[in-house]
Amino acid sequence: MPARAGVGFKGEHAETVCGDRPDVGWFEVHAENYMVDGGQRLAVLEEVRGNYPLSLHGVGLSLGGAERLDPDHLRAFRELADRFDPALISEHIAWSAHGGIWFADLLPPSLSRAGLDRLCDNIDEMQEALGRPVLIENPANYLVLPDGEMNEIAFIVETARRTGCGLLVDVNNIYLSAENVGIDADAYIDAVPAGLIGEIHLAGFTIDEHAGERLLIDSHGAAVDAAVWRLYDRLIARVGPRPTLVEWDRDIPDWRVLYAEAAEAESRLARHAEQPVPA
Amino acid sequence: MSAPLAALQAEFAAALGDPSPDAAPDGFSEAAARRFRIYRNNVRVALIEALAAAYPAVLSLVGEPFFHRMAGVYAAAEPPRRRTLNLYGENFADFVAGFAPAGGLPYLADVARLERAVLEARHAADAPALDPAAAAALGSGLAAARLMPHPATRLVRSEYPIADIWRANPAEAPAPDGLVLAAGAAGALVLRPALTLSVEALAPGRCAFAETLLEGGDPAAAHAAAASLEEDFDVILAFRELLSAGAFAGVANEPDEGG
Repeated sequence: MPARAGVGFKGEHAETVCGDRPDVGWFEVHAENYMVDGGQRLAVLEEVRGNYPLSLHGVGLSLGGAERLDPDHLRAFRELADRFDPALISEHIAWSAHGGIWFADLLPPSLSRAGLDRLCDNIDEMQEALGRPVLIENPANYLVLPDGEMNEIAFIVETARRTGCGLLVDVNNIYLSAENVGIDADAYIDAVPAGLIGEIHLAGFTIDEHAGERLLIDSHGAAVDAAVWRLYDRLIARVGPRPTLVEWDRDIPDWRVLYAEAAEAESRLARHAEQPVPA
Repeated sequence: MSAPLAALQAEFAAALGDPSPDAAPDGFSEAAARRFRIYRNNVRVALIEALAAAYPAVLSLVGEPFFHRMAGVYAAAEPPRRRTLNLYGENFADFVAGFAPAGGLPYLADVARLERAVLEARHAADAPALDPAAAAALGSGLAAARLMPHPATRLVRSEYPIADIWRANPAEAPAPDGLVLAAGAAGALVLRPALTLSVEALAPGRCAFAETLLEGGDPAAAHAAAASLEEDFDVILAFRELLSAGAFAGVANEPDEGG
């Protein structure tokens, strides 16, 4: 995957992306949206894949779940990976399913020894099924679970060390977590081992005010915040350019708005292009 | 092996499904319990939005506030069992039929059935449509042949003009000036032989004809079903139009085994 800016592909932009072939480095899609038997959606993705590198991003495997992976879902994931030959595959350390129900949301992973063991087993199974290493993404935190035994970045790095997976660093999520639960965003950014970073995510958040409490919500429905750009600069100044995704999943804007966000990321990547990229 | 982890997630999951707005898992700090509502809201909104995307005509007919209330009740009762929302809401139409506050719109559940058929057709497996010439080549054997429906073909019966109602609501096309509902419609046929989807209103004869064929009946039986409803039913025309519209994928080799 080129160390360029990529864009989250949305059906709303299919005509522009397939017709005009805008100069962006790559596209990312949520794997689950393409788990259908046939039709327009898969046909459009074939066309996108024909023109750009692709990143396949999962939101439903529930790697951080106490339960084993759902074999049907893993099989569907593998079929997509086989068909579209993505340059990158990623998932979350969050969980999203329990007792046969899928919650369609990313629920907070337990930063406990037991949580670490389970997560590593699930990643092992995913990587074995796909026959390749994957990237895992840090969550947006809204609360602190009662069973935490280590800090998040130490937990994630240990997971990568044990499973051989890489990291998808969501800078927006780090900023949200700092604002919502008080972690030190700069220290987190500085602690991510450069050699593990395979991809970076940037997105916009919304502000939720309720009963006098202010929380930042990972809505993917706004432009990237200035504070998130600052953290992004801090990260790539240290580790060098990495494939960077601009995500926008709700209140989807005109293509030009997304393209401008990607161009902003590209200009920052270019500024740090002289940094050595670890092998 | 990791009992506390499983217990915590079981508590979390149970609290997500708890109808009380203040529900939170046991053992959470006061701040964590207060913020648990973020996840409850995310889950609820994700499911309602998926239903809104799948049932745009129903939404348009009842308005957003009503739809969100109705979809919220459904989502609480029928959480997703699969790890994607592409086909979420399998029995939403049945739920709508029994949703008392929507009782003033007796056709609403049938419109939901049609939208479900459209959703299924949109994501159905791709397959080449049966070439009408291949069907014609069967000659006199055609009357007793069994046709295999195309994977995307759906027929929805309704005594309401659901195809017209669907078309007039902003799902697929802008509302025409002064909608005229086709009188005496018996159903709607959803087709997607390639990538383009179409919805067609069916008069009683054509509805019986198509339904019989799609359920594995042979053309002779389908003709009989249609002719019992419409004395001068033009079977040649109806058959030719169904074939050329791409409703079928092939001819079953073993008539007894069906499609």
